[in-house]
Amino acid sequence: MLEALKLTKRFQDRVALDALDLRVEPGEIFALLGPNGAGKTTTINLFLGFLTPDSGEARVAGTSVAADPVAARRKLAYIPEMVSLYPRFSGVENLDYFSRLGGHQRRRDELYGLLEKAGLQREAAERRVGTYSKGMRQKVGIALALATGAKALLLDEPTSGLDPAASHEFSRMLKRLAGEGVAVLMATHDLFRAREDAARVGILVGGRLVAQYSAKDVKDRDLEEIYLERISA
Amino acid sequence: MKSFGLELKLLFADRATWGLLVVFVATLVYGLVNGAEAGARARDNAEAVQRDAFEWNRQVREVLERQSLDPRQVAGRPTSALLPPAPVPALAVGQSDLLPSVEQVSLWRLEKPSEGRAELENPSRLMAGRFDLAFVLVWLFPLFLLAAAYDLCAGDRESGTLRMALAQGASPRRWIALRALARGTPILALAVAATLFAGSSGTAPDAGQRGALAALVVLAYGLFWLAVAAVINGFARSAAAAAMAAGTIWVVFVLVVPTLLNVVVESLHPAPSRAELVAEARAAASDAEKRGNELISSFYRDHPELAPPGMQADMMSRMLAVQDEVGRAMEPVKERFDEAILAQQQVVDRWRFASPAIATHEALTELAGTGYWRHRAFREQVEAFKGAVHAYYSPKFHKRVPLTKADLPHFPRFEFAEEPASVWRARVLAGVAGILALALACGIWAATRLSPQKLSA
Repeated sequence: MLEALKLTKRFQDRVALDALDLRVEPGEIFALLGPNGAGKTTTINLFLGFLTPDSGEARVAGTSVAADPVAARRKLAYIPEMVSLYPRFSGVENLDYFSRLGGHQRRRDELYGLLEKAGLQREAAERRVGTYSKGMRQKVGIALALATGAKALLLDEPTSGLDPAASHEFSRMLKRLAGEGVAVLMATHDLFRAREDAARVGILVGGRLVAQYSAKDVKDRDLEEIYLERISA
Repeated sequence: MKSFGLELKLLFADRATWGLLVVFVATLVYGLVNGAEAGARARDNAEAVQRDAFEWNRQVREVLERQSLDPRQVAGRPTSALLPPAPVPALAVGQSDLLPSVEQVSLWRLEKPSEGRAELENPSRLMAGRFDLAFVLVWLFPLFLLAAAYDLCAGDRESGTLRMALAQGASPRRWIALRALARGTPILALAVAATLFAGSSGTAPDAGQRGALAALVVLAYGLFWLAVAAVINGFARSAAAAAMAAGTIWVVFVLVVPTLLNVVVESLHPAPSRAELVAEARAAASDAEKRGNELISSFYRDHPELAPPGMQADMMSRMLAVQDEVGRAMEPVKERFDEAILAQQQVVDRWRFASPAIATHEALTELAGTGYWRHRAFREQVEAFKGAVHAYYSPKFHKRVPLTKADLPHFPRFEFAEEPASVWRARVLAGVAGILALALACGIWAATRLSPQKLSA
C-alpha cells in the first residue's frame, strides 16, 4: 500500500506539493494526471525518499519513508520514463545487478524466468542492453519489480514514447502485477492508458490533488474533457 | 562477492579498461627495469670498490710481512668508504644517482668536500628523479587509478542508472565503496604486485620486509586516491565534470603541493651553493697556505710529543698542518650546509602529509634505502671515519713512525652501519598512518555527500 499523508514539498517559495492525501491499495492502479510541473514527479521522488518532505509523511506498505528510507525503498519498484540500464551488460546481467543492489540474489535461471514473465525472451535477455528498444527496457524494469518482490510500484511516464503494441503489452504486465497485489502509482500524461488501466485517476494541479475519479466515473465521461476542465479551473 | 564480481565485469566490459591496464603494466615494467639497472650499476660499482680495497689490503699485508712501511705511503693512499648498495634498489633510485655512494678517504683529502654534495637538495623534490618504480607509483599510479575510478556514479547520474540503483534501496555509501574498490582493484593489484616484486629482487636480508611495507604504503596511497574519487563523485554531476575534477586534484597533490613545499623549504633554509663552498675552501686554503710555517710551528708548540727532532717540519707535515687549518676554517660552512639540509628535511617530514604524494615518495625511498636518512647516516659515518683516519695516521705521520705487521689490524677501516630497523620502520609506519588518516578523512567527507537525497538532487 502507498500512503501520502498531508505530504508537502516546497522548493524555495514555490509549493511543489501541497498537503497531498493519497492512498493506493494493494492490487490497485492509481493514475496521477496533471500538466508539467503539477507535482507528479515530486510525489514519486518523495515516495522514493529522494526528496525530504517539508511536512506530512509518505508510507510504503506501512513503512515511513522518512523514518526508514532504505526499508521503504526495498518494498518499492520504480520504473521511470526511460529505464536506465548499463548498455554494456545484457538484460539478464542488468537484472542481476540491480536486484542484488536491493539485496535480492537470484539464480541465473530464475532471472531468465522473470524476464520471460515480463515478456523478454532468453535470446533477447542475453543481448547487450545497448541494442534494446525502449519497450524492452521497460520489460527489464517490470522483471526487476518481480525480482525484488515489490509491494508497490512507482511509474513515471512509463508509456511515453512506446508504440501502441508495446504500450498495450506494458499495460498487460502492469495489470498482472496489480493482480498479484502490488499497489501501483502511475504518473502519466497518457489519458488513454490511465482510463484503460487505472482503478482510480487523480488530477494534480499546482501541487494539489484537485479531483479523484473511479474507473467507472471516467468510463462514463470523456476523461480528456474532465482533465481539461480541471486543469483550467 | 558476486556484486564485486559484477562491478569488475562492468569495468572490464569497457575496452578502454584493457588499454589502461596494458599501459600501466608497461610503465610498471619500465620503471622496474630502470630501477633494477640502477641497482645493478650500484652493485657493480660496490663490487669494484671492494675488489680494489681487498687488493690494496693484500698488497699492504704482503709488504708488511717482509718489511715496515712509511706511514706516508699508506696514509696517502685513499681508503674507500662505501655505502653498500640500497636494500631494494629496484623500488626507488631516490638520491642514489645524485649522491656518491663511495668516498675516497685519505689523510690528504680529509677536507675535500664530498663530490656531488652541493647537488643535494630536498629529497622530496618530486620534479627530479628517474623513471623508476617510485616515479610510476607516486606520479602515474594515481592517474591510472583515477582513470579507472573517476566515474563512480557521476556518469550514472547523467544516464539515470543512479536513480535506478538508489531506487532499489541500495545504500549509496556501500555501493560506491564497493564500486571504488572493484574499479581500483586491478590497478591496485598490479601496483602492489610490482612493489612486492621489487622487494623480492632486493639483495638485503630484510628486502622482503621492506617490499611488504612498500606494498602497504602503495595500498594506503591507492586507498587515498579512491577516497578522493568518492569525494569527487559526491559533487560531480557528470562524468566529464568528475574527470576534470580528478585531473585538477591530481595536479594539485602530485605537482603543485610538492613543488611549493620544495620552494618553501629552500627559501626557509637555503643551503650554501657549491660555488660558495668551493670559494670558501679556496680562500681558507690560500690563507692557511700563507701561514703554513706559522701553523706548523704553532702545531708543534701545542703537540711537542709529535714534533720531529729539532722541530724541523718537512713539506708534507706542513701541508698536513695547512689542511687541518683549512678543515677548521671550513667547519662552520660545512655545518651550515648540513644544518640547512637537515632543516629542509625536517620541514619536509613535518609537512609531508600536505600531499600524500610526498609522504609516499618519502616512505618508498626510505624503504628502498635510497632516501635522505640513510645517506645522512653514511655522511656522518664517513665524517667519523675521516676523524679516525686523522687520529690514527696523523701522529704516526708527524713522528714518522714506521708501520709494522702488528699495526695491520688497527688500520682504520670503514664499515657502514645500517640504521636499526625499528628506526626506519617507525618513520615508514608513521607515513602509512598519515596517508591512511587522509584517506579516512576523504572517505568520511565522501560519505556525507553520498546520501540518496544529495545524489538524486
